[in-house]
Amino acid sequence: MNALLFRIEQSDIGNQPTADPIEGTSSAATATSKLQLHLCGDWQLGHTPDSETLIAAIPADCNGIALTTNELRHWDSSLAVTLLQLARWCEQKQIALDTSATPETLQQLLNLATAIPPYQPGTNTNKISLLARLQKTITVQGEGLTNTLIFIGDISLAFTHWLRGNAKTRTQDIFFFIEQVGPRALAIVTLIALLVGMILAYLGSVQLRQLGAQVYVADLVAIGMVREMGALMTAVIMAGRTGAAYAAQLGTMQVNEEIDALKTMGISAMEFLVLPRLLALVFIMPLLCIYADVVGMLGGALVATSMDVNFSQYILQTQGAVDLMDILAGLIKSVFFGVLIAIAGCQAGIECGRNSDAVGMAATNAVVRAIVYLVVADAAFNILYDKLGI
Amino acid sequence: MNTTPFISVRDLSIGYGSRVVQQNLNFDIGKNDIFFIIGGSGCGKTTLLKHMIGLIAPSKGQVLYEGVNYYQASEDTRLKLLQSWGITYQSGALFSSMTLAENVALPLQLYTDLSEKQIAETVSYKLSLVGLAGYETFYPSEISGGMHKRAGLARAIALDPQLLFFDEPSAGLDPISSLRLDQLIVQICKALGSTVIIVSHELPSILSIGTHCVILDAQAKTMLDSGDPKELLHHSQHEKVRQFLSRAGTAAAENQ
Repeated sequence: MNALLFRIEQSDIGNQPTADPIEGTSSAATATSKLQLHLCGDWQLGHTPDSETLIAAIPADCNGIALTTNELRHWDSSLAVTLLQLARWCEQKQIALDTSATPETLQQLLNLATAIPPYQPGTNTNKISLLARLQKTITVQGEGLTNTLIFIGDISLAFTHWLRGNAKTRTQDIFFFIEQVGPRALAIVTLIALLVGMILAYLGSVQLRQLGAQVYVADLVAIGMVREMGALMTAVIMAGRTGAAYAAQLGTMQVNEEIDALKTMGISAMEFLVLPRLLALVFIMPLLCIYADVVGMLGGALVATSMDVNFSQYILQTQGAVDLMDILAGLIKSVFFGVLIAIAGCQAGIECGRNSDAVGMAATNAVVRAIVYLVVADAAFNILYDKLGI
Repeated sequence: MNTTPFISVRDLSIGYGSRVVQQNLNFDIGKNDIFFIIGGSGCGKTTLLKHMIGLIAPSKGQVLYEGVNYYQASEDTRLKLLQSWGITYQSGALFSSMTLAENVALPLQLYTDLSEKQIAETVSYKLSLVGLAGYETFYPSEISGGMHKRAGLARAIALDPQLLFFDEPSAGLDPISSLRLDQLIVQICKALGSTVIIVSHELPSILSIGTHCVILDAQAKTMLDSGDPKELLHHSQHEKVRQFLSRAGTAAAENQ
């Protein structure tokens, strides 16, 4: 079935064809010679020899190849593929390739492919030393830090403009984002806060039971939720839910050149896009935090009442454990966390590249950065509160 | 000639959901035609194309490919049809996580059993055809908009399609690249025996390479006329068609 696809003859010796079957060794050509390359049979995708086979069959000392296609039947672009490689090889070896006897359409396909010379990349592809790469990495990281600081500065400016009432921020945008960020996140916050409350209660009750002080589970859950877990867990949920969404929204706008359009209309992206998102988060975070605190304490109560602590006893104990300072300590954290999530999400979105891959990267960056910011900030807050005695 | 046309569109209504954009479309496309879908902005040219390439099922009527209706065909037949089509989108629609070579190689890897080397050679050839030789290792984000379009074409012709669809191929290209693209379309059509369907309103292209066309109208919500654009230019019964084709198209027609 795999019939002869090409044959090589020496043309200037006259009528002494040295026919070569495909993949056969070529008969030794004696002098520098002009060859006839006969293309025959069907050249169709998947059934053609690759160019190396063809080139290997050509004697090294030839100085000209003429193609003939009298015996060629069906062909598709795979013939042109092989001939292009042959043409490039011939050019390298300075062998004249004569295609004048081939079908016109084949010649045109070849001409189109060779009409524009291949792009030559610049020559500065030297290997970069390890030290240089290290330096580059540090510079890039440093730039990242600078960019974040610039971003924070820009946001602060936009915020002061907004306070003075001359920012190009649309109030309806703020309400739109408040709805997106708050009510729509209630279900997931409920679930997580309830479970966290229960986990705290279980953790505490196992320890406290050894001392016969199960009733103090209420104190543990209340303090744990109000000062720490309420704010932190809602922030983690928001980082995954809202931070990533902000980055993807702004990233897609960057890809669609919407942000460019805003800039050329003289509208600051910070005021128009970033500020409403930030304000919505800052407004919603403390509310969600209080809600999570309450739900978490309920979760704790569920566990505690199942372990012979009376419900009213639990409530009484909780009232005694928590004072206003604890609640404020949690709320201040949550406001700050809201700012951090918005910064991480929006910065990743605004700095997004211009393709779909970059949008994915931006969303990932937003979540990773937000969680790092959150944990670092939470640690800093705890140290600060400890020093201040709150 | 063959009695069943290569592609026939029968009583086709196109639109999105309940919104009808065009109705009562009836035309045939012959083998080896270079067929243009013409019309003003917003008249549903791209929507018609989307119905023809299997992206949106028509609410009424059908599109037959050698008698086969894509939307009612079996999974196997659909896949065969899709493999025999090459489609280039307005902005190229390159996969941004892959290099140009990987983009063009994808259909070859999925649908042929060529060796890696043969794939690499084929990719290099297809990219040379569209004037992108040497750009194999570039990512789509590193090349210009016009290059996107040409790389998209290289990917579309990777499998030597019988049927090539273009959505606004020369929009955003300079006149020389646009001319080159026209030549390329004609060459490929001739050399590979492909049929070409082009959505466009580039009059020079339509009049110089088009062998057939259908003209859609936004107000009438249907096609005005179909036939050879060079004939329609002077002899269409609809004045609107003659006007559309003669606006700025006169120079190209005179050169013929």
